[in-house]
Amino acid sequence: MTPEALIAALRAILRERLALGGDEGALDTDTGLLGAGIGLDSFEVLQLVAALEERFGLTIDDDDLLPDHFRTVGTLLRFLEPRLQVTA
Amino acid sequence: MRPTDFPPRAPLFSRTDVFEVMTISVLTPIAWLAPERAWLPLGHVLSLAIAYAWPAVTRARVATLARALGPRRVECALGALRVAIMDGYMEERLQILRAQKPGGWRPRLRLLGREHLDAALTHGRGAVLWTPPVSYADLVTKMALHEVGVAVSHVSAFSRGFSPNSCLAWNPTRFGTTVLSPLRTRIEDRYLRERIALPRDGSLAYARRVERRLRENGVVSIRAGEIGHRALDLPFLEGRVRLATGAPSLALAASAALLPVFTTRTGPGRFDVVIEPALESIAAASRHATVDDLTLRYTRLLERYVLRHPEIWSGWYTMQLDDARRDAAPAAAVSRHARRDARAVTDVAKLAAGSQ
Repeated sequence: MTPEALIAALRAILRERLALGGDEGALDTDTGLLGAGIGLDSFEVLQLVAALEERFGLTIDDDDLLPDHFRTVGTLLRFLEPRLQVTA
Repeated sequence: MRPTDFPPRAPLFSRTDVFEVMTISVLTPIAWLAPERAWLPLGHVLSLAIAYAWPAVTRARVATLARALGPRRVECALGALRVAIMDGYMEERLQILRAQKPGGWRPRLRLLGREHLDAALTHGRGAVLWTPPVSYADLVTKMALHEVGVAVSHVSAFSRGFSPNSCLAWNPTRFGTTVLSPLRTRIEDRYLRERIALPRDGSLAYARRVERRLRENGVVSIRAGEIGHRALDLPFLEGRVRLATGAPSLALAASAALLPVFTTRTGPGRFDVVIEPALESIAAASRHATVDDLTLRYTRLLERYVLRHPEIWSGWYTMQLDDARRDAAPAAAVSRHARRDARAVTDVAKLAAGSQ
């Protein structure tokens, strides 16, 4: 999977599961997620996590639910990369 | 919208802690030795002494009250309101200190609107109680719910110090967290199923636990406040108040009912806790618009309560008083629903009459 494909999947989740995303065309690695940018709160991040787990067959442990992983699209991609074998 | 960041590593000690320790030293003998009917008069004497000892502060506080209220009228003069607010702080601290004594503190409580909670729980998806940032509410609300057998999981910040409604800025210290805060929370915890604290590192794992409680058709309470990953600055009286969106966001995520709860003092050691009808979410363009609308409608309800009971609101001196006025309300404001909720504010007297 490429980063672009992952961003597309993220965009779809934000739109379909959370009815969020705003100007979706502007979604890039610098786009804020938790608190800033799109402005997710804790419970929205949890919904995002549930959707990611469902879509990619992942299990994200409680210990990994750290805010730094969800600051921006970029930090989320870096968190997901080793779990999804993302290739540039 | 301005996100509210969690504080960095807290300092060891602050001036607020010194003030709190002094307050506890003065109030503990009163709480333990004086009968409860004497608390308010004794607290009132202390409040008056403080008001007269620091006239410049008193003038500034009264001016703040005048600006916050604008053309609205409350039942007492603003100077008296300034003192009554301090009376409330004082009495709440006395209650918490008395509760430490063997035998505890035993107020007479009346829970109104229980049917709203029962109706919400029939759907099997739990209920989120959104409790108010007012004097007395933190302990009294938990006691009232416990008294009628409602097991509550309370979501709270990791520390707010000893005084839940201090007019001083929220400024946690390590001393406050480890020494002062437990004086209050260990009393509150007697009446809870559990306390789910937001962890200091901002980890989101607590949110899973909270959602799990709602999936079990549990009752979760969250105090309206500004601490959270997402918060809104909303029109309130002649300024703005900041509220985190956690409660409505949680309710929406779990399809749980969102029930505003308000607490009022009706006499010495007597309190009403009112569960309002559920705030129903509207179909909006986005999830955030729905959450923002719910938050705005809660703010409207809170404003009505504050105007009826101005002496118990803890936010007079921390609300933003700038040029931001309600004509700059966020786009999320869905005025039709806000107006309906304003009309629906429970008339305590009517409810009480119906429950007798």
